[in-house]
Amino acid sequence: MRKILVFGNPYLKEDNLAIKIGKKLNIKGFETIICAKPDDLLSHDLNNSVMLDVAKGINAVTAFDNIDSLEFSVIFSLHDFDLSFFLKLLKETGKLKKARIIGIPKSYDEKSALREVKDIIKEVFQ
Amino acid sequence: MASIDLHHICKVEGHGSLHVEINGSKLTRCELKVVEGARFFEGLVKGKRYDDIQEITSRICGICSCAHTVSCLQAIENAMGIKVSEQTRRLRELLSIAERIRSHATHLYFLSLPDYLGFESALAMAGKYKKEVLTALHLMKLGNNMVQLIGGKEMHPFTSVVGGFTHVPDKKTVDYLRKELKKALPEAIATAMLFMKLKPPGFVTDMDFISLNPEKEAPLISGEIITLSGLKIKPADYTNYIDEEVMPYSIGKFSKLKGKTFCAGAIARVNNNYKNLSKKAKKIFEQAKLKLPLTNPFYNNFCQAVELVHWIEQGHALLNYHFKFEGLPMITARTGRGVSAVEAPRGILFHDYTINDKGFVEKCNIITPTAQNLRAIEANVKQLVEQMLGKKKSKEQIILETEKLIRAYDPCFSCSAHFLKVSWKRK
Repeated sequence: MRKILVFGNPYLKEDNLAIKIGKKLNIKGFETIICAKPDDLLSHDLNNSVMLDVAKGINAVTAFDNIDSLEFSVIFSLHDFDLSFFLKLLKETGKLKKARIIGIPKSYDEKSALREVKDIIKEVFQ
Repeated sequence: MASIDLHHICKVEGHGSLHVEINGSKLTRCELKVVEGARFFEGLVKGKRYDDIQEITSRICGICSCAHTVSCLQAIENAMGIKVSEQTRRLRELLSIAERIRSHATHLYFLSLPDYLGFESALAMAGKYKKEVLTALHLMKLGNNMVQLIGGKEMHPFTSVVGGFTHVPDKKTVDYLRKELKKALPEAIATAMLFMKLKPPGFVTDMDFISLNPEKEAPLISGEIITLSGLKIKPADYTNYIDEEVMPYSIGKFSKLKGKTFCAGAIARVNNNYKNLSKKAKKIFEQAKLKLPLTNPFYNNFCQAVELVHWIEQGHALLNYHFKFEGLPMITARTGRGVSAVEAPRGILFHDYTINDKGFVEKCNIITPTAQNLRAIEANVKQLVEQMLGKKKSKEQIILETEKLIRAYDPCFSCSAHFLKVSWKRK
């Protein structure tokens, strides 16, 4: 079964929209998993998964397949390992052949986001 | 006059800077500045109840939150005369081991190794060193999983409380962790072999090394404090020996041990407790053909890698136990002072509390390993820069080697209050 890996921080208003939506997604053929941290990526077959996260710099729910288009946080310390770093690292090591990422604008309407995420998963990934 | 200003020393924890001034070929000033804001944790816990403290002080650091948790709880238990069971001690050791695995693996592969392989970052080396990067990720994840399964979550564990544990791992969890640790042992050995092959620059220092010294085991969460020079003291007496000094240019305090510069961390633990390392860890160390004591701080990285082997084996052995929920003791508040010293990944971590008869904290003192190491790092940098100036090395080479030296200590400036920019001036 394909997986939808959902990222975010449930306690931060500006970073919890993907988790709210992930909990309401119920798409046949997909298992939804809420990931607490980026290294959860290592537990799943990424080439058969969809990642859902809040994204900056977009105005609508958007699908990406190009990891290089993600803004990369420079790793200054052990505290700086984020999702984009992990994705790039996994791509470089060959563990991730093709990324499927859905970005949701942080202040998007929840109902619209849920509908659009479902549509994108059905249209693009099924 | 020429100067070096490293305005943000990267690949270390927190923020710091280094200011170096050179007159001709002589170093005239070297200041290691911790530039983060003071965090006031010792003040924050004042007036809080004994059972609220661990949740607060574990937030001093996400990387070392288990060490802060265990040290805090032990100090409060010492203050209130609470004895814990063998199982509680074992679970706290496992939390500490898990934290050490993830911290060492992350530091070694992602912050330190790129320096030696000539890459700017772990990401830049990932294409060529796929196996190594995947090893690092696996070890990190193993440590994270262990903390989560024993402590309730990956960071800031909450199952360990004053007097015991609110939840213990079931057999299935224990079996899973043992299997994972067994699988990780060859990876730890490969890590130690890799770091054994890296050649650090020739550099000899004159400083003391401090660590805990449990009777039969390698240092983790208990034991007296010993130094390479022969000092042996009880943790509660640390204030008579360790002096903290405020430097006008740094938020983090600088420490001395009876007036002498000293160093804590993996290199100190190996120097002081080599005999208690596991057979496999010792075998690897012997292959490196190094003479103890190690006085070159660059070898701290190799010692961390050797420790990975030791603690993965030790974690596997400690999990050979039937854990069952024991309940929690009835606690009666009482006045007292309690001190705990544990070995965090970067060295000894002191928590010291005075509790009043209502169970509220009246006084708190916390000394982190990085605060203990700041003076040693500054002294080592001064020596290294002078050495390189004598060899007519370029400014760029000096900066690179200086950063490598600082990173070898694996400093956590966030914890110390906090670090890194290098500022360089030449007259």
